[in-house]
Amino acid sequence: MEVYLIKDHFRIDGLTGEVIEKEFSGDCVKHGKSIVLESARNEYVSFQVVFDTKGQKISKVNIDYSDLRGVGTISRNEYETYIEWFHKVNGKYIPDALIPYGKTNLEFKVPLDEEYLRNQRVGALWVDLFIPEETQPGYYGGKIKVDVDGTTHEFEITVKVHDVALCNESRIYADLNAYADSISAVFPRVAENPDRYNDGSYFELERQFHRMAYEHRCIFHYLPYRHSGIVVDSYAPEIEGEGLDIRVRSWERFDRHFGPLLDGTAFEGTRRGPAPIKFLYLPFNFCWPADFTKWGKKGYRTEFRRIMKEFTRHFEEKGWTETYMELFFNHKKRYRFFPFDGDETRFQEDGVIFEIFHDYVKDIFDETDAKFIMRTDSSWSYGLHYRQKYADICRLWVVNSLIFSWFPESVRPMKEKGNIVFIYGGSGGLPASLLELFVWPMKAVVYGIDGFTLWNSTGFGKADYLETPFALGSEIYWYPGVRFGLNGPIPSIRLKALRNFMQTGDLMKMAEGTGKLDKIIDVINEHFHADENFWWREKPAFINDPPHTWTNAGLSDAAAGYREPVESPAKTEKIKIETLKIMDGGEGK
Amino acid sequence: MRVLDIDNVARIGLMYIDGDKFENVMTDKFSLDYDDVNYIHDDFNELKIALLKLERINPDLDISTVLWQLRPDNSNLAVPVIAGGQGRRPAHLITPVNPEMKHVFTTGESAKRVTDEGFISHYYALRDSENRIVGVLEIRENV
Repeated sequence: MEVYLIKDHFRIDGLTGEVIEKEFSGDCVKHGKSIVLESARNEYVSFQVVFDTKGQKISKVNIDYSDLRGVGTISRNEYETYIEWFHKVNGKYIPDALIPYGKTNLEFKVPLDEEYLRNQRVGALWVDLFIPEETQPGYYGGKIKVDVDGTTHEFEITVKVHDVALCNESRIYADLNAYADSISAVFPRVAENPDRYNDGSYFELERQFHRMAYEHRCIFHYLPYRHSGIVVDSYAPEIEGEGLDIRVRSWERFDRHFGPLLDGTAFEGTRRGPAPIKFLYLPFNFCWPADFTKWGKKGYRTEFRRIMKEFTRHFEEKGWTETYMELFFNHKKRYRFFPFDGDETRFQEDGVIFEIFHDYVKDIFDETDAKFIMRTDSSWSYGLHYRQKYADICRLWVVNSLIFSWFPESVRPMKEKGNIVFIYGGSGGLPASLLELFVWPMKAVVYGIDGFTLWNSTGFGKADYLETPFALGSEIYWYPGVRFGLNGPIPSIRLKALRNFMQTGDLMKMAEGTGKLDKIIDVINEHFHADENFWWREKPAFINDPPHTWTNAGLSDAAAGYREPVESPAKTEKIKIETLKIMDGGEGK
Repeated sequence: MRVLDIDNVARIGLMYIDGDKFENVMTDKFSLDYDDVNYIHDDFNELKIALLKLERINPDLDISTVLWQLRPDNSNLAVPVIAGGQGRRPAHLITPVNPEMKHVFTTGESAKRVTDEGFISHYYALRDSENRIVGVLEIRENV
């Protein structure tokens, strides 16, 4: 039996005890007696307690934390502990789902589940420690006692608390995209309730996802309509009449659904405190609220404008003026419902829909104090569109990460116009190194943009997500807690890692406008061995061809020619520590 | 009172679906990659609106519609070209033509099929101004 601590950027295989990030396993330090962590104030730090049983069974574990003492005290109550759940992926047992320790029906033992994980050799706990903002900078020490079936293992923990305090409000938007309603189905108690969109049970469940995202410095971004344009129940107010008589019949249910997100009360009791959600999709689309049978006629415009005007007026009356409300068209012609792509414009003639709808809403958006904006998700046509009228029409640009990397010259004009720029991409899921998640906020810093969108975050599919998640977990960052008696989501190691990496990214962004940012970017570049063609990539030869002639094979070939940011996950800690030093005013190296 | 069953709804609806416009609404009928699909906007919208109205002829029917073509280079493959307004996302990929749809393309007679998911699909021939069969209207009962 061996009990040791590791940091937050490596994972241990539950079957073999080997480091998942095998290529860099030499960098995974197993701390047998003590561990040292460095933190800003108002920040989480994390580590893991690993129990390598060497084949023995563990039936009972108690973990006891002392206060950390230094210039002052960091209370033991700032610890939060989670049981790591191991998923069968590509022949490995990779930990990801995190079950709150002592708060569910799951007791920590090895194996965790005799049927599912009969041969489990390693168990692990994930530990978060929050460093309150009022903590005085300096060194703090404490003890962790781990009792395993009557045998006590003791560890010393030292936290170096830096002077800098992490901002509460994220400077980078980490966007977890999803499609409503993709959560009911994995919560049977909610799914079986036919009145869930009325009686508040669904709203409560969905709000837990929003809160969990917020606590992890992310935004749950939940598209409220389908490709056909049908709006999911409760995501739009009830409307009545048509043409000149169209009006909102009732805001009651819409307000119950979204009011707490828009006034921030949904986030009361969180570490970061209540604040209105930063972004929400509007339900408006090609088929709502205007009747598509009137497309091209004055009645279509009238219906669209009248309800949009009611929206802005309602938001002003409610004081919901802090959230960016996005007019976004997710429709794709490949699904045969419409002849133009509202999303990912490829054929240039499809750009007309931005002009049409901008003409409908421009004066309404200009007049309101609420933040109503048009959004575009752009890939093939980004290199054309950022230079054209669309840069004045769309305020939020969510751009394919690869294609964005070809256009460094686009950042300045976009920022000068006040546009918000995200990049988007997918995830390699559980098999991917945690470093993959670190790269997203680093790109936001290096590129000088506002955020990133991870697609998708609630792609649970029909697989047993606790065994082998759908698409190897590449479309989820949290899990339903139902198996453990929780009617809400539980986090994952990847979500925790993303939060920790976002903290580093936010620290970096706090340096914007100062000379410190250049130093920080130098640190990033040094660790990634980045030259001028690393973050920004050489344009491919086909870039001057019309985007609709580009092929997926051509795009793949272009991507294959670039060096990817593959480094040891230990770099995440090194870069963070150097950032903390720079932010404190030191040299950083 | 005359009951507007699905056959009657189809009969009325087909009067307003322009076969000539449908025939060439896709600009490249040979495209294989689903990202390559492109349309003549105005013709698509006119046909789409006709489908939407067809779905509303009898409000008591819960139906969804799709217009199909055969691949010009392989008559054993069917291409969903335009979907109506209901939530069902049609198979957006080119699919093998089923026997009932094939029968409609070949004979012009209507046909009915129980889908693998247990829905009932009704198929009707769509003709152009020269009375040639240029497509099939699928009306699916959403029950």
